[in-house]
Amino acid sequence: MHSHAVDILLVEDNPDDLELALHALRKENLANRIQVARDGEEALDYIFSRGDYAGANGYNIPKLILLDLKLPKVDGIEVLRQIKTHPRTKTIPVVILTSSTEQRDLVEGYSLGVNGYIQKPVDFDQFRDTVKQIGLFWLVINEPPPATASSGNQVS
Amino acid sequence: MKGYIRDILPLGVTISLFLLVIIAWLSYRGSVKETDAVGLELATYVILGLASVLFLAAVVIIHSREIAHRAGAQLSLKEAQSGLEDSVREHTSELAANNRSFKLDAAELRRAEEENRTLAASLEHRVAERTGALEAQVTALHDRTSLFDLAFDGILSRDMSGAVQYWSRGAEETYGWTKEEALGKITHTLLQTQFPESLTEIEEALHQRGRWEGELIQTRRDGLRINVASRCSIWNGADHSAGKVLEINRNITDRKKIEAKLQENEQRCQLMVEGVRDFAIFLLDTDGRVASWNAGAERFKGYTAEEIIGKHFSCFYPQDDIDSGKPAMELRIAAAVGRFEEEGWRIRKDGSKLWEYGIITKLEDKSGRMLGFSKVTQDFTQRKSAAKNLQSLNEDLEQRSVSLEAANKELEAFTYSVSHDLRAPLRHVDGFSRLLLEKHSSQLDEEGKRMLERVRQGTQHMGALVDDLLNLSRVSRREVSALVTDLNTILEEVLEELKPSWQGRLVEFRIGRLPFAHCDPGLIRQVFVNLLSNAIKFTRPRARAIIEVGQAQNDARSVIFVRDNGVGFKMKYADKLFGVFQRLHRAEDFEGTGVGLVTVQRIIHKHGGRVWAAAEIDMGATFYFTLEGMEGEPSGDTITAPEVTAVKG
Repeated sequence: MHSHAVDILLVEDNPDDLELALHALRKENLANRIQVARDGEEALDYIFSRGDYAGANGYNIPKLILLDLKLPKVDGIEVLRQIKTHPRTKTIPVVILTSSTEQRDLVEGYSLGVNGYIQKPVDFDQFRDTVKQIGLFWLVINEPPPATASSGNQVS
Repeated sequence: MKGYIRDILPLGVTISLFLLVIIAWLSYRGSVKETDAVGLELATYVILGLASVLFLAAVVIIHSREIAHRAGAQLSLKEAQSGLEDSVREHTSELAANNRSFKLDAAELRRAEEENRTLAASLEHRVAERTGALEAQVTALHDRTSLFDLAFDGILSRDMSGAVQYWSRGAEETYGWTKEEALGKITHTLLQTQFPESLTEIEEALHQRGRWEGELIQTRRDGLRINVASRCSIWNGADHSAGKVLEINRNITDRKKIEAKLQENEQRCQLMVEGVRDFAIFLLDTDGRVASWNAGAERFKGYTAEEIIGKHFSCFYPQDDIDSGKPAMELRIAAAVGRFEEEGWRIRKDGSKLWEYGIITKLEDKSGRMLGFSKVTQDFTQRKSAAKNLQSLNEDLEQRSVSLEAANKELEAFTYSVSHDLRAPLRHVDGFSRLLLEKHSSQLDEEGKRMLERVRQGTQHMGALVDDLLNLSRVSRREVSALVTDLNTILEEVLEELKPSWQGRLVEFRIGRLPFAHCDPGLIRQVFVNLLSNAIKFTRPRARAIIEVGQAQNDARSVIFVRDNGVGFKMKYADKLFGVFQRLHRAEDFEGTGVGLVTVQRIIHKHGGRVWAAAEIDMGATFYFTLEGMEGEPSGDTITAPEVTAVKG
């Protein structure tokens, strides 16, 4: 058994970025339950209920993962690979939210099955607008995958 | 006959007398008639006695006659024998010798007679045999004469005075004189012979050795001079007196000509080889000893021909090579496969080293017999050191490219990190400034708010700078993936994209027909974006902006241009246009990062094209660029694009 433990898993190591992002998300009242992971390892531990997050649930499946790429310990691309290759987690929408638009990150992200790739704008107003649109789309407009699809062993 | 009568007569008389006695007795007996028997008997005894006496007398007479007769016969036999002896001596000396030892008895005589007869028969047989042989010889001689006529060579004989006695058909053809014309003529006069040595010397040699051969120059009947190879010998007849000269002459004029030409060629070849100074060319015998030597060889190796000919070529090699048998091995390989090619160190006469490139080639005649080797070599010492230099240069280059690659990687890592790390603090500065304005505006006066706005403007400008720089570095690193591209389509897209940037202004776009080009559409799009953004930006002060895009001709090449009627710039600063961060306008007049045109130039260069600009202050500016592989005719409003060498791409 599992449930959508949180609306958004925000994977962000930089405290400033984290604060601004949380500010933007909360201002739009889009996500009540936000789980923060400060590095790649913590993100994976949370999703796969390991380490500090070990529990009876088995998997924590958020409605959306906002993933930075440059992360301590396990980088964002590796986190993405593990999420997208595991049958239980591969249907979770993952949006990369990062500073760079490096070609190789884009190529690798999409080839691993990322659902969106967004460069954080320098302008805070633009950033806030971007975050608002992401949340609106994935949490409100978009129909999430059925619970069975993400919990079953069958690959749909 | 007389002897015979003499022998017979006494016998005949005796018999006749005997017969008369018998007849007398018979007559008496008839007349007495049987009365007188005693007389008769007595008469009979008388007669018988008479007859016996007569008979004895006859026998004595005959016997004496017989002895006389035998002596006479013996004499006559002797006579006959001596006559025979004479006749035998006449016919054969052998018989004569035999006869001298002949015993004069009848039996031997008979044997002699027999032998004589045999001898005579054998003589007769031999004469017949010789006659047959002579006839065969005559036939063979005739055949041979005919054979002589078949020969192409001129065959002739002359007597000791030089007069022609025989003149073959070949001679007729060789000299043009017929047999009838030549016979009896003095050969050397007829043929105007020129001798290689004096005629007397030749005659002497001919008489001493019985033969002579050599080359002559003679003149044909038609006046043409010919070279002949002549061979003659003296022939003495059976009687050793009337000698004659037999001569066979072969026309070798053509051969001589070819020989002369060959010799000339050979000479020329030899001169050429000898004269070549840039290559050592020499011959080796089958054992590897130097057989010829040219100027180049002398120059490279330092030996004169006199010094080196006959020496083994291994003396050109370093001691190590000699010890390891390298020179001999090279010859073996050349002999086996026809050639051997090598570069290596050699030693000059003075002991100095030279790096040589050489080919040993096997020389063989038509039958495949090896005659030796030719060796052609070149002094590569300089080239060797040049190659060494080149190699070290290459190594340098390699090293440099390795470090360049490392630098590139570093740069890549740097830009990656810049894009992540540099932008993040900017976002934070901007973000928190914004939040400060929002949440704590009550604590800020107007001046404070204005300053915070400036902070935000600064961060945004820096964000733009970072983004442009990253873009430039990306463009620089990017490989051009060229496609045949319709520039019009790209231009249309770009104009659509830029629409927001000139909203609310009066801008007239005059778009000409652009060609197809072989280019990377993504990169060329960037070129149009940057050039058109500039045109839009720098025409901002114009009430009515006019921006033209089209195709022009420059040196018969197609050129794309983007022209505006904006503020322009001073041409003396044109060389600064394409420098990073270089700006020709104040930031408060026209915003910008000074990276856009550098990016344009980088992209055009990557396409093998050129970019330049022409402008005048307040009269607008025109940017031109070319692309490799641009097709299509210029549009109707063709202009001539000026060259601005200072900023030529």
